[in-house]
Amino acid sequence: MADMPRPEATRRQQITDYALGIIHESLWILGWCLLAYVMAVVAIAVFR
Amino acid sequence: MIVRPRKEDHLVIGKYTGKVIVGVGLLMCIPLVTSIAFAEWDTAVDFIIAISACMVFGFGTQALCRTHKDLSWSHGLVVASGSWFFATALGALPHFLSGHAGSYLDTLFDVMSGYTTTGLYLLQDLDHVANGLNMWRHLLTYAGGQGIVVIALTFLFKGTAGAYKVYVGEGKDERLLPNVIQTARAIWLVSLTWLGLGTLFLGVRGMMLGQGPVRAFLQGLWVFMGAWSTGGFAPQSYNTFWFHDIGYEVICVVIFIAGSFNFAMHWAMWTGKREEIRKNVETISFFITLTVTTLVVTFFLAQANIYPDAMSLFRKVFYQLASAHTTTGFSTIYSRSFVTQWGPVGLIVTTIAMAIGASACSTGGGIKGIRMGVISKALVQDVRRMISPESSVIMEKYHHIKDTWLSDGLVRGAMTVTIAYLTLYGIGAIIGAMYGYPLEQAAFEMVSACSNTGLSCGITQPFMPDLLKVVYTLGMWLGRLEFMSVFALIGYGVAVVRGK
Repeated sequence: MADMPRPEATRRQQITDYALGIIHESLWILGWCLLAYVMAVVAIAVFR
Repeated sequence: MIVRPRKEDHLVIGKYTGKVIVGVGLLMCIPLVTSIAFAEWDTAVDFIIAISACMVFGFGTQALCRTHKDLSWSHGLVVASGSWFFATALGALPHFLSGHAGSYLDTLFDVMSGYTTTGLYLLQDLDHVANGLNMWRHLLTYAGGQGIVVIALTFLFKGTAGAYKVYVGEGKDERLLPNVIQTARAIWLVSLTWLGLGTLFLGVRGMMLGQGPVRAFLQGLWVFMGAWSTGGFAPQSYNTFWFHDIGYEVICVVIFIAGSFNFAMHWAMWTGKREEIRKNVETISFFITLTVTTLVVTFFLAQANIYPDAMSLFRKVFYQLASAHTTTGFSTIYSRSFVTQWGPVGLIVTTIAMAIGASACSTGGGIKGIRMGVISKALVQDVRRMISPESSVIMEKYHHIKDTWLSDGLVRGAMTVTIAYLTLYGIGAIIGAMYGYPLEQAAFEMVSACSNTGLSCGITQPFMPDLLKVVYTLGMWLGRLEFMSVFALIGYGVAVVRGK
């Protein structure tokens, strides 16, 4: 019994996982938007 | 020989369709409460009438169709498409009673557009629509994004064997968890968490732009629903262009790109598999095609000198193309600008982005990233086979939650649905061209409807031909349910008439 995680701890871990998942997704999207912007600026500079 | 359905078949289909319609009636309680809160009594009466109609239909059908038989695969498909049909017919009542619609056909168009997360609309004087009706419009698209059947699965269905068959019929075939009811609830957990956070960010930004707290959060909620569901509805006729704010646009982009992701991928990310976003064939496919389309349009519009600087150019191009590719339909340019400013290249590239669409088992539509990924991998496999020695064994695999080896069956399935989409796009474009619209504009509008995007180049108007309204409505329905369940419904009708 002593080795089993307490339900509250499991739930807390679960919520932390969810929050990290959302932050990871959002940062990935924003980072990629920034990369697309840099590529677009380079494309304009090179081909204009 | 076509086998005529037996009485038991009608009963089981009727029973489960009734359950879904009761769910639609319950959903209408939210706009009813909104109407009452804002003292919009006429709108409240409209919703009371519509809720009554749903309850009479839903409970009446269940009372008439008492059976203990469980759903078969064909029943599940017919229930899914039939439920969408009746949910549209009854869900259109508040639109029709509001006086903002030109005809009942227009309201059917709008409601189908909402459920299928398309975003095209024929409602008139949108800027002065009651809060209750606006809540219903956006709730339609939010609920439609998760799937009407997912709502019913979450709250109304007992047992799982038959439920899974209806769930698949709605175009979602992935289990996030072993049990389909738990899967439906996980989908809601993801959506509701994003709803809370997205509304908060949009509401705060709205207040920073000078809106009052109630208006900022109400509009934030509606814009979130339009973005997350990749529906594209907004409370203003100028859509998100109305805000004229880069902060609001950035928040919208994050929400609608996240909304276009597969729910299975969200769940993987949420349960610790953070590398999934980088390895998943759908996100790789999406990021490659969006980058290429953005660069092509940016290059051509830079040549045309439409926008004054690189930032303005990127801001406009990226927003419209991300919106098109995720099949959202939000825009920050006027509809006719696609024709008058973006020209043929902009119009065609945007059409391609819409046609490809978002991820499978997401709120989005279109051919879907996973099919593009599978077809691309198959092409690579064939080329590798051609240039390798005859004795060598060449196998390709793709990653979606887990690694899967490419098989002929998978490629055939992806190709079949892709060809079905392309055929539908083509038929609609030809019908539009027959009414006198230029072919590229007719193709843009039809692809927008069938891929459930909602961008318009100006064809979708209340005075457009009625047949075109019907074609677009059917296109949205077929595109959202990915053909099979609608074909099953048609087959069921044929079997009733001609079966033995």
